[in-house]
Amino acid sequence: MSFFDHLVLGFSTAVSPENLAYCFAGCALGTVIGVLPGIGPLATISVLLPFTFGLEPTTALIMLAGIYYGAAYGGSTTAILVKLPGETSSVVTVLDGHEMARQGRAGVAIAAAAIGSFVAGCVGTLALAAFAAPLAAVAFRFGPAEYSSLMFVGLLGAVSLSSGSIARALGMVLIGLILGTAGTDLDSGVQRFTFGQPLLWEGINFVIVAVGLFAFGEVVSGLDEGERGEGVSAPMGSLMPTREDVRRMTPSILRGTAVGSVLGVLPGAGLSVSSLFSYTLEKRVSRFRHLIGKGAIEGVAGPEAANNAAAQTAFIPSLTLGVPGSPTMALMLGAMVMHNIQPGPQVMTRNPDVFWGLVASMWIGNAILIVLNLPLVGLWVRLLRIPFRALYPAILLFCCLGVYSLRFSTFDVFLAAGFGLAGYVFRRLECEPTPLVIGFVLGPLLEENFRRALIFAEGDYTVFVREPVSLGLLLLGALVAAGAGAARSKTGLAAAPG
Amino acid sequence: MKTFVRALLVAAATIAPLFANTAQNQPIVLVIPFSAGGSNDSIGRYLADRLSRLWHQTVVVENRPGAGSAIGAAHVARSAPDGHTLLFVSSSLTTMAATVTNLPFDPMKDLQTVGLAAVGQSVIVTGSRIRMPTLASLIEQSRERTIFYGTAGVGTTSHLAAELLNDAAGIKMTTVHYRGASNAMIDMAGGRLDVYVGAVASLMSSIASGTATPVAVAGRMRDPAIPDVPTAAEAGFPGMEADVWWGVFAPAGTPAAEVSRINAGINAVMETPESRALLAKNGAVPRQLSVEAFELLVAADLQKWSRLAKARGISTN
Repeated sequence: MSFFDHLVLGFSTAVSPENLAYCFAGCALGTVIGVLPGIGPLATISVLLPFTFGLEPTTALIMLAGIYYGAAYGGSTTAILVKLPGETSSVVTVLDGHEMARQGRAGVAIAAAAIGSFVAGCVGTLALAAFAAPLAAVAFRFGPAEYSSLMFVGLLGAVSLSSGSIARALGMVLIGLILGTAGTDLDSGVQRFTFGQPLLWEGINFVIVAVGLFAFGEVVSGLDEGERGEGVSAPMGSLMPTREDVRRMTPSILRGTAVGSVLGVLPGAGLSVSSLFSYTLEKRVSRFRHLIGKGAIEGVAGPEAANNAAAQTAFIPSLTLGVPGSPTMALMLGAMVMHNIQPGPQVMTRNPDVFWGLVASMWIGNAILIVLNLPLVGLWVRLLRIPFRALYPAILLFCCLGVYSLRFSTFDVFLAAGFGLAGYVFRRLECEPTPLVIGFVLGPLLEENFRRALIFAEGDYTVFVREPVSLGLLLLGALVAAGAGAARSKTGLAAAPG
Repeated sequence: MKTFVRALLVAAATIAPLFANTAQNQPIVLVIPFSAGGSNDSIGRYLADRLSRLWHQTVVVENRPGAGSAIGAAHVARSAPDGHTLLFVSSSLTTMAATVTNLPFDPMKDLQTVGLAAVGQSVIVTGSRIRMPTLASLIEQSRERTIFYGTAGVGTTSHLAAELLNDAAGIKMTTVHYRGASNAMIDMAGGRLDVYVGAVASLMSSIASGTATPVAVAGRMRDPAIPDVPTAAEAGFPGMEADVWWGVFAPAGTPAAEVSRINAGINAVMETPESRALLAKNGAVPRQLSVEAFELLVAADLQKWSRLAKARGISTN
């Protein structure tokens, strides 16, 4: 059966009225939970899983997959509008996305994110369809040494991508690293920074840090700055991107898609770093790189494309090798097993209608999401016009509910409030919270993989430079750091009085 | 202002139905100390659903993940012992009790065993670097070079079971900890990890795709999902058993009549063709035990793991 025949089979399966309806329902539901802080695709999928038992396997998987990337779309909407990253992949979208919202270009930002995600989704789906098996084989050559070098480059990127002072960014990354160590150490079982509180044994949840630093911190400093009772100060511009905007977005989207498609295949860590790498790349390579950080459309379109491409290609190791790259993927695999589909290389031959139906529905899901989200942009943007005295309490309420829903614990809510206070203090000290969050997410991954690489290498530190991919990544990191240093000295010279 | 106060009073009055909770229609809360998703959660939710149908009473699932299963278990241990709050947990409760030194509750004293829902077997799997898929070959290779075994975390069943293998075979495999079985399988697929001892349920997809090769079942009988794989006893290592189970507990002090009633309910709903089918998908089978028999099982497990943990120095502080 040729590739074209496969696609035809897939689309004929996916375009049935029932499958389309469930795809739409999944995407809509996914968007809603992506927007709401706290409850995420993982919890939603697991709660809905039993209800899908009565459905056809393909239909069930289509709906669950729709929830999965619908949530990614929703997460970027809140990142842009209210500076609250819905998940790790939207952290970077906050930077330029919210700046654009402040400048009255929220609609354009959301549209850019949606368009970027759609294009990337199409390409990612194609990559999944055409290159699933060979890509998967490559992915597993990526061992702990390579992962730790990748994380290291990510951390260097986090420092270099901030627009403020390097010292402050470095400090924030270090604080993020320290916060990331809280919890029970993986290798020794020693409890670090738990202060005898069992609720901290598994570390601090990302949602708590994100909600606290971004949402609560933003609300408090907004009150402090004494914003006028109105909404966003700048006049609301057009909701749709102009031709100029589209011209600027296109190279970023293409670059982001490439970065995301490659990184997404790496099980586990790829998803978290894809948007970060795209942002760093844009900062180095884009023609408008001097504007990135101040509301450049490249800073939104690129990372969003990267993270959606990664979300699609993340299915590759799961479907072809039965090895999930993330908890959500593990759940999807569990769903497949529940419906008597064994994931693995044979899934393409034994259940072609399921595999290709799923692939086709991914493309349809992306199409549905863009159809859903673009018209909704006007609605989302109108939210910004709500006077702060009504908007802030609503944000606080939803965030508290979201944090509480994680584990029915008020401790979590108070912890988030504590981070809110910290977020306010950081703002007053002109320290951006983004490098902290990136350090918080990547730090534990770096530590875990670094130590594991050393265990496998039996204590030989040269493993990080012996392995070609690892060495290549470290050299890339050196380039990133050098580039950041050069850029800064250039602007320093320009800014210094003549 | 007056309108506001009036509105507030009306709103306050709407909570009146809350006080209508009499003992009969008060819901039973089944606390699952794991996050939503995964075999623990799906089996627990299934049980809750079936019990509520049997008793015509609402049985609500509350996920309270955290600290392994300690948060949820501690919550139940502190709850009122009236049979309305129950804990659904896996055998990780005993491995946790054996290795965690500062638990916020005492699993033996603060919890009362109620009933067993299902049991599953563990299987020893090997990666591509092990020459032949037999236990003997694995042991022979372990004497030639460093063999790495993966775990789902310090003090988990996979960790303790592998240490049991070290003990039984007199070998010294090197520990590599992961956050969960799936992450361990990633390294096994990459040819870096050699051994993993885990529940058949969590390893089925890796076995099916050829990533992991089953070598021996760490249990009393061969597993129907992998009928060609011998037990560890057949391969020459009796005592290498690491069954996982899922059971229900109640706070200590719950009246014996309540406990028996719930035990009967669990035994009734789990021994049906439908339950068997669902459990089979999770690599488990139902088993009916009386309250006392379950208590003995839990105590035996705890003793086995505590002894091993102490001998091998495995603990988290």
